[in-house]
Amino acid sequence: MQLSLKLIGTAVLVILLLVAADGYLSYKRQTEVFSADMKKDARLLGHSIAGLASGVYVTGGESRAQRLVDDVNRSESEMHARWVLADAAAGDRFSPRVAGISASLLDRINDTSVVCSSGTASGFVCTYVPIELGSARRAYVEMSEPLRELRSYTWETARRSITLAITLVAAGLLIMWFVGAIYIAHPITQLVDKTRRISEGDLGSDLHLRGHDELTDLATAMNDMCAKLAAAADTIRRETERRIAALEQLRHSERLATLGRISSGIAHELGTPINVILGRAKIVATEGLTKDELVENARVISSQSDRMARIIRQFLDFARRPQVQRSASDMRAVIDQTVSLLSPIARKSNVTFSVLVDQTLRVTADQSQMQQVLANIILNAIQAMPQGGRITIATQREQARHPTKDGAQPGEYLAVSVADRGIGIPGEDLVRIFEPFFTTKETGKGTGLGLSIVQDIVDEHNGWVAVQSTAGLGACFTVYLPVGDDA
Amino acid sequence: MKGRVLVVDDDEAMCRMLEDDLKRRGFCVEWRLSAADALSLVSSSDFDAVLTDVNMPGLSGIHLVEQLKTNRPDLPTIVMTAFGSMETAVSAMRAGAYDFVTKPIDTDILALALERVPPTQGRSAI
Repeated sequence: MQLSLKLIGTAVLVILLLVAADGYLSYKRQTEVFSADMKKDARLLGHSIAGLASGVYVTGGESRAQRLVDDVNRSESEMHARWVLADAAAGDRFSPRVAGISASLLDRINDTSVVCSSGTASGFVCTYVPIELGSARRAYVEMSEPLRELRSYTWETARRSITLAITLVAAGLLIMWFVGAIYIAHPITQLVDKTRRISEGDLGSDLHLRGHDELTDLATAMNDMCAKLAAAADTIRRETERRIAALEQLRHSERLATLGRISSGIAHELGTPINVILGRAKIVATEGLTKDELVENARVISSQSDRMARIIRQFLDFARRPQVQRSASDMRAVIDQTVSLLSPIARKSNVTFSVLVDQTLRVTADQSQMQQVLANIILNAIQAMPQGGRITIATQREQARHPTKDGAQPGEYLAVSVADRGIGIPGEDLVRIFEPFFTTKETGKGTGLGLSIVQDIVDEHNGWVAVQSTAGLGACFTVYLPVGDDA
Repeated sequence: MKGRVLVVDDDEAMCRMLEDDLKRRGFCVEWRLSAADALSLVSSSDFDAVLTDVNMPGLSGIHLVEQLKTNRPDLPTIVMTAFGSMETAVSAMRAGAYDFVTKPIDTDILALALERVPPTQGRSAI
């Protein structure tokens, strides 16, 4: 329920209770006053009639006095006067209308009014006034008046109170609904809308509320908060951009360092086709070649030129600073390209590759970054085997749980492992190999950033890198990349 | 016929180019892609010279020279080294190579080097 409706409902309820209480008290008071007036009038009239009847009794006897009392009824329509005897038997024409009222009770009190709710006097108020007869006989004037007028009066009082309550409630409801809508509901709706926009990242467009109350203070405070948040967000964005640029520069530098490491192998790899091309060109330059021999030599020169172009293209592709772009990538193609790029330096170090990948492996990844990850790991493996050896690259789909993310659910991952039989990594170094600038190589042989960048890149792809190694027995680095929605 | 030459290089295109060129110059050429295969062939066939690359997977050219120096001291070997890698050339000569040629290979110089090798036992100079 809306706050304004709650406030209005509470206020209306309070008004209703106050009006009801006032109406009830007013009703009760007026009823009592009216009832007292009725009794007072009856007594006054009763005393007058009793006085007259007493005088007539002395001069004219009882029957004339009774007739006098009866004559009063001719001019009085509401109130009825009767000559009653206290000791008359029930059912007698002179017995009191109020059944059971005793002569001793009437004697004890001079005059009294009784409101009757049962018997023949039901719905009447009866007042008894004694008549002085100057003898032992006890006669009374019974003034009986129906309660109809009293009831009519009380009903009118109640109806007026109820009408007043309904009118007050309706008017209050209407006024408070308008006031609540203008001063409470509308500003709160605007504040809620502003809060929603803040949660969606919209920190601009200040909220301006009319008036000077707590809600306008809240709007001002929210505007100030948004301004500070926007300034802080802008600072963070600029810092993040600077950090990303620095990180990209660092990664590119490390990439170029990697290129430096493999360039000697590339030079050797280019040397062979150059030799072949030069030799074939020299053969062509000699005389006496048949047409078939000429064609064959030209074909070899062409294929060797393609070979050189491919090597140079791979080298330049790796050297180029790429725009980070994640897409559905075939990790098998990435592995093949990286192995091809590193084959010259591997051959130079007497290292061979065993690639145990026999299917297309799709993950959402940046191909260039993945190539950098594999190149760094494989180059380390080559350097770990100074006497040469074999590097085994294998892939496997695994159900695994991210080891460092709290609450991570198990998911499907592609595990790309690079295993060598090199010198291995001592236990004390194993915990530090992913630290930036940590290296066990001689000065100038490594930047100490290779594995740090590997971990950063894989982490950005929501994966992780695991390493197993025993000093002297080689090492195995495994890159886990999510397959599917997490990628 | 100038003599039989065994070319050893891990690159087939290089072997075939040298084969074509040297054949046109009157040599009889066989080629193998590894030092191990070359040693096997030398043990069963007779050659007048061995022309080998240095960098090869498995047994390197320097090791091949050492093996031939032990097994066939009369068989002259010429190594093909990268331009500027004088250290490799010196290592090859110390291992027992008769001569070296630098890459990129000038086939005229290579032919001259082959023609300069001393005669092996039982035949004249090629």
